[in-house]
Amino acid sequence: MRDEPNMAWERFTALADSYGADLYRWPAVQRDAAEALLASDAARADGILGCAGRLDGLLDHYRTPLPSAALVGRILAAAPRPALLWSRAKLWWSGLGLAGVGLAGAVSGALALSLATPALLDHRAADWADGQTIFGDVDLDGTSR
Amino acid sequence: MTASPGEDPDLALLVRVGRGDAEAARAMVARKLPRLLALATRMLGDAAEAEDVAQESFVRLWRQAARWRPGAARFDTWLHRVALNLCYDRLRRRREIVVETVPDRPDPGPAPDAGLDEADAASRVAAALQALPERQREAIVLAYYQELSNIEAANAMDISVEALESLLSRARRKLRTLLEENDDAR
Repeated sequence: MRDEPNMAWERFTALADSYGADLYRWPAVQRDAAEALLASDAARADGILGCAGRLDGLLDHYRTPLPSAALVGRILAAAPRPALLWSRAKLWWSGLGLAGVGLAGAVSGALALSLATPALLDHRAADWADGQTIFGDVDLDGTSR
Repeated sequence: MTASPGEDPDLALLVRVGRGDAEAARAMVARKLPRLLALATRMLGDAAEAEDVAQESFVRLWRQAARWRPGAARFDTWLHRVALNLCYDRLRRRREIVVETVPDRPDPGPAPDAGLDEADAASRVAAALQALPERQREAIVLAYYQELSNIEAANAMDISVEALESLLSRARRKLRTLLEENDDAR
């Protein structure tokens, strides 16, 4: 014994009016119920679907042209490019920046040293006593003078 | 027809496009351009304007590719929304420029003895589509021609599924009147 279809003819007609005769286009959640109703009275269903199908047949005449090669070319010309060159440029600039920071540190360090201890510029390191530092002379027993 | 939530079939390709993969860009054009062009052609009824809309839609796509975040909307629905908005911009501009009234039925075309060839039939359907109110035309284009699911089409139009079905039903009724009356006149 077949179960009673879970869809009224009014709903079946409304779906055909909205989506056309091809049940593939109908909402999937209602397709099984529609097929069951169709099976219960094929002649009645065919009458409803036939009317919708005639309009589908007319609508299907309207085909649109495929995109031209020129259009495809214009679209692809604007497509994103790989970020490789930009990454290399960023890497080069960041390397240059690090080198610059290092150089600036060295220069400022040397400058600070020359300002803080001008007298030492007149001596060669070889002439320094064992306890002499740039911060003053340090006794070998650990006290500063 | 149903949307399959959670799975966006365009996502992997879109990620590659965002990285500047030229092959992926070509694949994206092959996948989306014919449908976008068809959508715009049927919405606008003008081949040159439809090409402009398709090209501009891709400009937006390229811009969005690297920063697309999967969310509630599928990428294809978003892309349809972009193309539709561009179509609406052009239709709005036309209304501002053109003072003529839109004919309420399509041009009957060639004389009855000219025969009904494919091009003739296509032009009659095109004219009938243009005679529909914009929202009805949009519903038919998305649900029938673009074959979006009812949920996807409703999302793209920002309306409920019930409202979509109502628009579709009214659109098909009017199209039937326009096209079948036209046939009777031949």
